[in-house]
Amino acid sequence: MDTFDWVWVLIRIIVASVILTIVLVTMGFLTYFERKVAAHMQQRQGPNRTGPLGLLQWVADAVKLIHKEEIIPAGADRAIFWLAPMLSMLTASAAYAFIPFGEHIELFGRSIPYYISDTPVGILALLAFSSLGVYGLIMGSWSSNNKYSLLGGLRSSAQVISYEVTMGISLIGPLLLAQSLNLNDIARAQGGSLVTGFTGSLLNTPGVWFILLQPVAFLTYLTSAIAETNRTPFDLPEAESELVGGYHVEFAAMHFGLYFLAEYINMITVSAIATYCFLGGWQGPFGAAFGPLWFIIKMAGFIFFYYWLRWTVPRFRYDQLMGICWKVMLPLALVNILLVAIMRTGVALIQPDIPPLALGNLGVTWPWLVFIAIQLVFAVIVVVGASRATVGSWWGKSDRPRVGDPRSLTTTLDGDTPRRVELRPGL
Amino acid sequence: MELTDQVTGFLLTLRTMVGPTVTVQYPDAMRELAPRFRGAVGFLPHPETGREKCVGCGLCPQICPVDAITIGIIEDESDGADHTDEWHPFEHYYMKGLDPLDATSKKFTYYYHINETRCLYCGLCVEVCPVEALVMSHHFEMATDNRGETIYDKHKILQMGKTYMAELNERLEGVAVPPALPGRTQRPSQLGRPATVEQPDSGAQAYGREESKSSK
Repeated sequence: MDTFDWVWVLIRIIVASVILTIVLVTMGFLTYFERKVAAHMQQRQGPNRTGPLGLLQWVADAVKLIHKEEIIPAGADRAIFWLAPMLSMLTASAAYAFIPFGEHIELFGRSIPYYISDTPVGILALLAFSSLGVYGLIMGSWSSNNKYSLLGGLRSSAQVISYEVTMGISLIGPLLLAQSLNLNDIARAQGGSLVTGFTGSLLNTPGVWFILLQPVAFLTYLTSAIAETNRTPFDLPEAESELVGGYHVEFAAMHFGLYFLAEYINMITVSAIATYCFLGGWQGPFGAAFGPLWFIIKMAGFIFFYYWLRWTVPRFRYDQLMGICWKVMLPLALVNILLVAIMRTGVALIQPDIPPLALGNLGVTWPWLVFIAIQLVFAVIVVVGASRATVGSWWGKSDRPRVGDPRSLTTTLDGDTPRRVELRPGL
Repeated sequence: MELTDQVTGFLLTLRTMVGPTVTVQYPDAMRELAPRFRGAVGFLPHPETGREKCVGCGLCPQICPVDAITIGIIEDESDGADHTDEWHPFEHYYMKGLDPLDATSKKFTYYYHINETRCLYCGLCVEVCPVEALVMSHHFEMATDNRGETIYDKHKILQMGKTYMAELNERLEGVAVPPALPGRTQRPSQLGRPATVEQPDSGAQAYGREESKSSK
């Protein structure tokens, strides 16, 4: 141990600080882009005054938040009130220790990693930190000594605990296929892009993006990830129209800013997990050299979907939220695991040394094709079934008013029979 | 909640997003005002002299519901000569008792102030004016850091009217003006001089007796 590699330590420190900086700056730009997307979806222009195209708006916001007075309510539990936003922010940003932005790059004769740590249990650690984040919310809501805060905190804890289950179970499918909890291994197991195929996948893994093999798990994960990050349409903990602001009603200045920061960072985190487990992580058509680029592009797609969803879909009712989680998502995820486990074992039994789909010819890799076909049929049944189940009939037309149907706006009488305008029951 | 409904909703927001925005970047770009937009009250310039047509009848301060208009009326004691070629600063001109429009005029104002912080843009003064001297101009940017500047004097009011007329002529260029309806009396503004001079005279005298504030 006489030759301790100081340069290695230095490189790790630099990489860590660079990643943290990038994450924080990205979060700032995410708020800007959210406002822009929201504005354009409402035919507005959004921030365009601060800096070129308004790109410095987030800097102005941050400076304002930092300079504001931090107000602690008289009845608040001061210590916890102080601690809660920091806990929220810390757990959110600590997750970046486990997210690789790519494999590594050769510079100055050294291999410089694109990640802070490459732990074998990466995804487990990510899930652990993302579930720790809810403590910040609960502590903040409790210490505020405010009924709206408390209600927001209650909702948040119930929601996050429920969806944590679905989220974890949806991820088991991809993990079974990749046979690893390491995020880099999961990305490697997905071979390459859908276009060019093989760029170095392991033997006995599918070698294509897991979204093809796990479409149902993808849907359940996506839904529960949105609920996990408290975004619309599952933003019941905040619910401006019901709870004023939910758990952060009493928080001002940078205390609120930290919560805000944590929400956006959590969004990046769950998008990163989705990218790794379903869209091939840093895999791209031109090899691993542009790994971070592909990774960020895929993540940006997810984040845009978040924005899109937020400005399209209204908020769920609370019982609907819980109903979807426990009565729909959880059974689906469990059935999916069952299916994956059976088929994965079957594939291994049929051909123990089956090559990746993108590598071998189709005659050898036919078990993977069967796997994909069954999963796609499953996905179609689930999607169409969910759609028809809400309508109430598998084959007939809906009795309920639909989008754009003038009936949905009127409560007129048909002869003597009053039209029943009933609230849809929770799923 | 059917699948197609969800797709419809998502496509709608996406289409809106890539579509045009409706926001007008106001300080940079000005939105076109409606023809009858009610801005600050301005003096319509006389078609020949280019000065205001006011005859000092005192109806506008009388009808103003918020007392935004304050005018000073003076009787004409001129010699009957034509002074329309001369130009002097308005205040002095009127103080000398000379009518810029017509030396035969009996009354006119030597000051005419509108308090823009009070004005509610109802347009009653424009409607009541017997000689169509007033108009709701398109001037609405009246923000200032000096309270005194919110009280507009005669020069400013006439300038707003001139700007308004210029904009109106530019907009109406090439537009055919419909002929006057049969049986309708010709508008006073289409004459060089109001057809009935006596009416505002007698009216103003009556108002002058009742309304002390308008005839300081």
